[in-house]
Amino acid sequence: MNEAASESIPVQRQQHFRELRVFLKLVLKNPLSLTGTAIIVFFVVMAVVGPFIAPYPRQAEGVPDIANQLRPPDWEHWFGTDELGRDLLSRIIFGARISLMTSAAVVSVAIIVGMPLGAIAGYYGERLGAVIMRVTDMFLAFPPLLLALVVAATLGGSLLNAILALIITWWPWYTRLAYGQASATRNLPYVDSARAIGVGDAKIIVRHILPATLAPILIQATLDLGSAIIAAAGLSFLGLGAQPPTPDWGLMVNMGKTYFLQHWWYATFPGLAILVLVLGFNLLGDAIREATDPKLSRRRLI
Amino acid sequence: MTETIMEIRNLKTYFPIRSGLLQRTVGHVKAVDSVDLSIEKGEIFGLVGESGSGKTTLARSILRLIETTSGQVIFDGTDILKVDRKNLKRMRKNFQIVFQNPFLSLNPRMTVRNIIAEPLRAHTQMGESEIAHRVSELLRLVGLTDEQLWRYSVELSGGQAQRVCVARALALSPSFVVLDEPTSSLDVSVQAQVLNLLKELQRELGLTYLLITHDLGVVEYLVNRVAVMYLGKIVEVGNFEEIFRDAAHPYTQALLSAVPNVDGTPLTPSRIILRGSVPSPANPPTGCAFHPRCPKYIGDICRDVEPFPKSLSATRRVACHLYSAK
Amino acid sequence: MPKENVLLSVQDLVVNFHTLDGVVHALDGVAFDVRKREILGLVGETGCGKSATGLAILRILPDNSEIVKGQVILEGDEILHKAENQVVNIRGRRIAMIFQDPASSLNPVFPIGKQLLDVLKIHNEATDEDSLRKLAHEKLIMVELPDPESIMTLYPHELSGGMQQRVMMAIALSSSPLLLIADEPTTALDVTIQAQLLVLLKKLKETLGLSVLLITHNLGVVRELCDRIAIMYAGSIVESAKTDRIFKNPLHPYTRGLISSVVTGRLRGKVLHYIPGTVPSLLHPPLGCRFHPRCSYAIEACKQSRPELLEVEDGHFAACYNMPKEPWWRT
Repeated sequence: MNEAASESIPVQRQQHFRELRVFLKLVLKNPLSLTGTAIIVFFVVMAVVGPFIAPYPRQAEGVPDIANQLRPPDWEHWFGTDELGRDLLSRIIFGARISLMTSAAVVSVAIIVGMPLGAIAGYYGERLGAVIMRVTDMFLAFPPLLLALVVAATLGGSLLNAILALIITWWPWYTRLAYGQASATRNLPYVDSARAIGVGDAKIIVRHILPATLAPILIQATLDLGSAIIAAAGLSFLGLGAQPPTPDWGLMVNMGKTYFLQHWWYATFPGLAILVLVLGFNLLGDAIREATDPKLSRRRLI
Repeated sequence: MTETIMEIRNLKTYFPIRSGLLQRTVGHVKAVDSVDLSIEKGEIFGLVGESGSGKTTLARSILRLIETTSGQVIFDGTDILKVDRKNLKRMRKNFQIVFQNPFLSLNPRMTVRNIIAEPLRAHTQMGESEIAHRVSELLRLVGLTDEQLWRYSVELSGGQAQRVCVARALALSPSFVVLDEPTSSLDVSVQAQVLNLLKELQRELGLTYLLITHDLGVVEYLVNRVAVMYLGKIVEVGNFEEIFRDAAHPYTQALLSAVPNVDGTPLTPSRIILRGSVPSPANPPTGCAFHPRCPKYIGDICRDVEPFPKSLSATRRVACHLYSAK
Repeated sequence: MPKENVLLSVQDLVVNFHTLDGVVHALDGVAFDVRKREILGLVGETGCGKSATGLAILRILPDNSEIVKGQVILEGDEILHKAENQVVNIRGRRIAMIFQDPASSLNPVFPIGKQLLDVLKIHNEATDEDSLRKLAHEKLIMVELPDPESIMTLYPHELSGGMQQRVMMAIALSSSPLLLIADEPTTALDVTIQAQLLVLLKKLKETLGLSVLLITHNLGVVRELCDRIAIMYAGSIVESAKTDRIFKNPLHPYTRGLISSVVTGRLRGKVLHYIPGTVPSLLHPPLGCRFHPRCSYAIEACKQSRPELLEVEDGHFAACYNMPKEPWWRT
């Protein structure tokens, strides 16, 4: 019996590899998605390794060097310096870590909160579902950034509060996505079968409903990672997010705008960093969406 | 004298029709309308009907997969519909269901092994190795091998997938199994295999089947007794000979005559073509629900009065004014 | 068989589908004829390629298809290799098609009347509202829909499945086509409604002189309705003959297996026949005869090359090197 079991495992692995290969084929053969992936990888590497290779790490953390304030880009400071003489390139490198972690935190917590709520609402339907969805709708009725602004302003400006504010703004979208999938899934015969077997509601939701809601949520999450970076940068730009001396990109753009006319590099380079990273997420997100759409992918000529 | 394993008494499942901004209930869809049935232990009981007949709703109602409106479903002395949740879970071991589309009945993200193990994990305290043993045993029972253990449903053929569904249904050794169109979505050559298996299992394990289907060939092949449903009501019940050789209700006669026969000999001597289509269950006709299409319409009584089921023999019941007329 | 009698001739049709998993050899030399005023049943199980054949004739195969070779001759005119702008004149005009699920073939946002009138405008010279309306009513009466006036105002979802399918037939027949391809037209319908539609199809064949290519897996339906039958397996025709002949004396092992496994009351108490194994994957089809891995009559030759469809008896064609000799048990 045990031999039979171990002989069958290769079949399972084969199946997983096949799916992965097909997925990768679709995603990576598209030049746009390759670019997106490359961008993201680049910034992730920057976030991880950056602090060790940044030319002026202590300046990135905030130590000023007034003598070199507002120098234009040159061989010592590739991206120039800010009003406190701190090297912009180093600060941008350190900022990558902040941006990525911020958006990862926002999106993942929003999913952790929103997905189960949506799944429960979709599975039970009727009154419980209605209550959950009405609350969700209330949150969705607010213009997103406005809600984040209000929460952040109330809590006070800090990176943590900005993250909290964005989580509060973002979770309802995932609840709605999960709700749609859950409502559809709960009518499928395999859920009925589980109920007929006598499996408890909690197990049904975890084992049968949640996995079905995962796919659209993950696709949305890839795009949201980009959006969260912009949103966080926006809050920082308005002074409601990271506070000085944190090397946050949005904060740098905020500070840089004052000096923009004569010192163009201060606002431009952080702004470019935001633009490129978000572009990367959008390109990859679109490619994933296309790759996972069953109708689109089947018809392609190889 | 065989014992009754399930007795359905005056079962009603009505779905409210809601309309308007405030979602007021404006009417009901009488999906199951006062159904009385008793199923004997060890028999294969067929339930036939077309769309809108309520047969699928009836199956789900008796297993308490949907909310019923009123009535009783007595299994082994206990009313399934009134039992509390904990006891219901315990009782579920005794009755299981196999659905029509095996690919929709199996979670596409679970391996065959976990699918069959699920009932065991839900109801027993079996250890992993014990579970593994029982799963292999069940696979063999339905004619599959351990090779399928780690497969996902997408990797199986229709016949294999349906066998997995059967294995799962039998995991807890139930005595009563509802088969809801078990072979309708399978190819002809595969249907035969699955039916052979179902027949064999029934004999070997002493199971009782409630077979719901629109395929009259399968019904005539398998069942001991048959009930015919139309718009939520049972119009005729009898043993298979009575129904197939000598149907009493005009709808049954029309149904049997409509089946195109492979063997070249029609099931009934003359073709009866019904007029019109099945009315909506939300707005059923008055009196006898079949009267607008009935080729043997007697008169006003069919339009005004609902016919009461009348026993024609120890095993036969018909709900038709042709038989209750004096 | 006189050539003037043949309406449509499909010859050596080979079609591949290019999918992510590889090339699917869906049709491997399909060949059959549809005669004038006849209902030909194209019968097979899922995946045999019968639907693809219908789509190929009308040149509405999906984008990833490739017509490798073959010919489709309609009244002496080769249409498989015509340019798209010429095929438009055939599609919906000389050959029409109806599908399994009428609800998805009808546009849910327009009333029946508009959909029917739109099609009539394309296919008829008359342009004024009144004569078109009259024509629409005629078509609806032809498919035995009661009260055409009110049907025209209804939306598709307000009709039952059977009525929707009749509307589809009316639309398909609005150009008075020579051939109607019906792909599983009654599979989604109740058996009593199916009976009504089969009777209607037979009637239309008589009154309109219509030919029908009926694609289905239901052997009971073909026995009732069809004049001749072509049995299809894994991309090619394995047997074809008059209906009676097929059921009274099937020659090909697959045909025998197929008919043997249909479940009816006559078999009560007996163990059912079935064809062992499963339909082969058309990504890597077996060499030689595609049925040989499941065939109890397979010989060496079957593994080497595909048997040709040959006329074994008068009008009865079969593609097999080693046809069963046992008497047929199910007549």
